[in-house]
Amino acid sequence: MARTRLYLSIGGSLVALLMSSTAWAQQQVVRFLHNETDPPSIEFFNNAIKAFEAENPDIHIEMEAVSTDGRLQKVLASINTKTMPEIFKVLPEERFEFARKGYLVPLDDMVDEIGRDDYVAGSLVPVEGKIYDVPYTLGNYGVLWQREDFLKAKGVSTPKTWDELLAGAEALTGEDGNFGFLFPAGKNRMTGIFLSQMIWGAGGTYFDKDLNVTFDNPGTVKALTFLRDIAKFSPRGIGSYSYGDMINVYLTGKIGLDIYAPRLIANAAANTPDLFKNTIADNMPVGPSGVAVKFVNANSFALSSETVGSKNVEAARKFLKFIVTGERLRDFSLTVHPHLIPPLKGVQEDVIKLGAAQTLGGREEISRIAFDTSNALDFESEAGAQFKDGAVIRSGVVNPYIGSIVARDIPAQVVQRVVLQGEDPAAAAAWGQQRMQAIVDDLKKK
Amino acid sequence: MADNRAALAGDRLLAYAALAPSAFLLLLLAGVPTITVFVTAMQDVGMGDTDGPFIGFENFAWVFAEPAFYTALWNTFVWVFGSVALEMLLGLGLALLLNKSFAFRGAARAIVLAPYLVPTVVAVLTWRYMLHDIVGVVNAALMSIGITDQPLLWLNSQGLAMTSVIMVGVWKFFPFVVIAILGILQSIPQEQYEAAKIDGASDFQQFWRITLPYVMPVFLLTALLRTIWSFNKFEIIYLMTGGGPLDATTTLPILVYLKAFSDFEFGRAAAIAIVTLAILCVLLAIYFFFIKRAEARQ
Repeated sequence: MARTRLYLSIGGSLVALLMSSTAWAQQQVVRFLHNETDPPSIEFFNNAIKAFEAENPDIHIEMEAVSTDGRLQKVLASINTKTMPEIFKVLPEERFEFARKGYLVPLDDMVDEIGRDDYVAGSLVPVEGKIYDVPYTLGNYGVLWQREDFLKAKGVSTPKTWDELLAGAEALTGEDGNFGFLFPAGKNRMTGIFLSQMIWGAGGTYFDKDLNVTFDNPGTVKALTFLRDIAKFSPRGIGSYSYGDMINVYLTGKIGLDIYAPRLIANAAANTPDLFKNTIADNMPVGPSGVAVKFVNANSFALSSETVGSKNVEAARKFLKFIVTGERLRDFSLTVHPHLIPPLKGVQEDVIKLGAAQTLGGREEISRIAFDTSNALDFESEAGAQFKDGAVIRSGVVNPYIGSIVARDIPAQVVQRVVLQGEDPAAAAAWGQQRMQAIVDDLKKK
Repeated sequence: MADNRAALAGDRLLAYAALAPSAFLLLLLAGVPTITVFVTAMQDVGMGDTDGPFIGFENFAWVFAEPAFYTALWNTFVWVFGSVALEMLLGLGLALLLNKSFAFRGAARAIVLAPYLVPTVVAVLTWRYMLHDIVGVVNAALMSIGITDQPLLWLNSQGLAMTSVIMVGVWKFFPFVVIAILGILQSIPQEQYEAAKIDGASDFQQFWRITLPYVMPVFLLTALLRTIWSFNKFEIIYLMTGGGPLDATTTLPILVYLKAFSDFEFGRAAAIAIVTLAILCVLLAIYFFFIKRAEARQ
């Protein structure tokens, strides 16, 4: 009897094992690579994956969250070995090359299903007429953060122009060890972003609409001159500052004015409540062009093609649509409010109301300024942009070359030449022009 | 006689058979990547490319014509010889001190070795924070005792950045020198010191005539080993300064990384890596020369 029971249980186990392995074999595995490594983001993705797998038991999602540097190396290695994850975070500078080489799957049908018109203007970037990546959040680097208590104490009002910004920064810099203004001048992408906002605000662009390099234009010289002048009212260590310093140094309570992304206020609200109470937000001051131009870029996911080893493209498409729409998009945006801006207009209002109540003590005005992505450009869309009547007019040209220029940190090196080495702004702009032209010539040869 | 020869041949065959798996693994783990890098260096490989057109030695020609390569080579020598010289001096001094008898010597030895045990990433990020101009404790301390009235730009002044990187490198790796030299110090027969004392030798004479000759082979070998390791050190400099400000701390390994993962010029990056390997081979040759000489002396 006991032996029969033993045989039955062994047999049962084998059948169960066989069934589960058959089920596993039938399951489609979708690998998902991204660099959103904040604990709340990881928690969000884990929950979203759980919900998706419950609805789609035949699909299993394998998530891999890596650092920003790790992502690039992983992507390049996976392309070489043809083992690309089905879904991955793609950077703007990779989009054009990868799409042209056939590594990405076009996503126009998905965008149409979601609603092309619901996307914030400029957040969908076509390559040769097709969309290859879907944005899941927008980053706005053009919010002016101000210490209201400092402004009141010194009788300074919110600066509306560059001249007022310079004067305000000077007034707020004092013997008490405070600095009027904060900007990054490290050899990094953030410095390039900051310089770009200044160049555009001064009426210049890196490229014209025919994709000729125009970096040594008067706008660049004005922007560099402004940075050289305002550096006197910034911490001396800005020459190594990057993303993190723009927040950490502000949180020391020694900074009066800071133009940066809304992650600053999210961190202040979470870690320094007094500073949060004394911080107000406004739009960037207007530059000599008559426009305050923000740097707003989309963070996107792309589907890799079978050419680079993607196996379950249809299942991946289903999961991708699931996470970049509806409640998932709302919930992800709420993980770091008001920093993560949903690219779908239909989701934004919900996020503003919920996020302001949950994170910002009901200060909805901060969320609205953070979510204002009007008059914005990014590296890929700036070629030939014009600045007229207080507005940015895009040329519609997508620049395939600028990614290589930014990746080499050339804009940041131009800033360093002026701010750290004291080089004449016009000479530094000419140096940048020469380096950029060489890169573009090289790329055009290929 | 013929039997002996057959037995010897059999032994040799067995020896080769036993060595074969290791030789195969060595070839797989070291040979294949080196050959791959060399092949890449002969191609024009860009972002996302698995390979590219064969261009012969064009990438090597580019390396030798590129000013950034010579800046990086100079920076590499400053970094290597600056950090190794300080590590050796500090390591020797502390090893001599820790070889003496005093209270809590065990605890002192443990404390001295601590930096070597801290993971490099943790140590470097902590130092980076400590050297920050606004939130760093180093500047706060220097200002509070009046050494400077404004923060020193440890990481973003072209003059100080390399000094800061070397300082952190020395802090992290001098314990290795202490371990190596302390080991040899403890093996010196005490009778020699006793005999020298009886003959009236001073402390300095004892150090010069007994300690130094014993320590010197290990000292030189450690210095060479540290030189080779420092030559291709990447993470300390990359995490501290990213090679900046401008190119003030860009060494050859950093240049390889930037060429590959910022400029996406894998062919050129591979060519720099091969040239770096050639320089390291010269250092290795010196290392083996010293090893052989030390063995011959023994």
